[in-house]
Amino acid sequence: MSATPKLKDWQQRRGTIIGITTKELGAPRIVDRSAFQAELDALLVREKAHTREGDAIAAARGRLPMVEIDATTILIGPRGPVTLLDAFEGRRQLIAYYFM
Amino acid sequence: MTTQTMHGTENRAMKTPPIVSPQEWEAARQQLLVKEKELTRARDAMAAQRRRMPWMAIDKKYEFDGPRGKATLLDLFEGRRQLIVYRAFFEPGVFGWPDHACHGCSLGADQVSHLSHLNARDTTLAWASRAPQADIARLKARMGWEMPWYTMTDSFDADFGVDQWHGHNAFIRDGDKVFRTYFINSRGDEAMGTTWSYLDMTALGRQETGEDSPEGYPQTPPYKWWNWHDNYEAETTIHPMWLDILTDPAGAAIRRREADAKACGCE
Repeated sequence: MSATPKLKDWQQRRGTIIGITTKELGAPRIVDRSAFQAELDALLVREKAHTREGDAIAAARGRLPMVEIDATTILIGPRGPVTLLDAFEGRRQLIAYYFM
Repeated sequence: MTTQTMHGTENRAMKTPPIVSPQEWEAARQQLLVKEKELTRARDAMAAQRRRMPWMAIDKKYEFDGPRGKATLLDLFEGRRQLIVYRAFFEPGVFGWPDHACHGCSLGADQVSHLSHLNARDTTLAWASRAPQADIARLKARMGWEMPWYTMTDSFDADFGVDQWHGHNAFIRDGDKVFRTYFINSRGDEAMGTTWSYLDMTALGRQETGEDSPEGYPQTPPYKWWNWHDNYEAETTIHPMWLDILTDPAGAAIRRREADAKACGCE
């Protein structure tokens, strides 16, 4: 039993793309430095607007109301049970990610 | 007079938002979520526009110093299809030299995610500075950084907009021909570091179905190509159970429940 066909099969399944030529990508326009810079500058307007919209949303997050929760909720940590308050490690804020 | 303390609770000058019921909080969150989703979609649309940028031909031969000696721009690809080069400021004259790279670049280095995922999409990340390789090797060891990091020896920085300020340049190659496909700098660099932020600046994008790319671009379903970072090399040994879950999560969950029910006789 050879492992090679199985590896190839799995690579195809997840779409490893080695070997695709520019032609297959529908021949993107190839331009010189100044034409490229002009397109880059045009798209930069949109990029900056996006960055600012992100800032505005972050500002709105900071203005959301707060809801009080049970700070004594128990979590199991590396050194045994701790409260949700302990999970702050003395800092002002806590971000908790639920990892599956 | 108010006391400005970062960790204290006596920050009387700070006007905090109202405390509300869980229902009211959820309603407020849902309202903001509409904006959040708009922003996510706007980001996708912007990445789609990046993928429609023309490609800039590169004729000049650039030369770098790498851990194993001289390297061309083509060598930086490490055989992969795409390359992202971040210009970090680490050299004589930069604050922190020779013990450290600049604060901002060092913070950025700390948020570079595990590169196996980016590499699995045929894309290489490389860092480039003016510092000699010996200093780069020492800095990487000291700070626990593992990305490929080259020394610039010519006009690469000036030619790609990173001689005065940091920035990410994206490249693609067709055989031995190299093209510049995008450039992100300034506050755009803040968001860089995740697998998705890197892929979203490349010509080919995430290469996932449902993505708005020009016709013929490589695409496979999301989830399917994702793997554990220690398992990309060992794909041949993937257990059929995980393949089942990867390719048909809903069906796999039903099958597992049925199997469990059968095992305990609770049918």
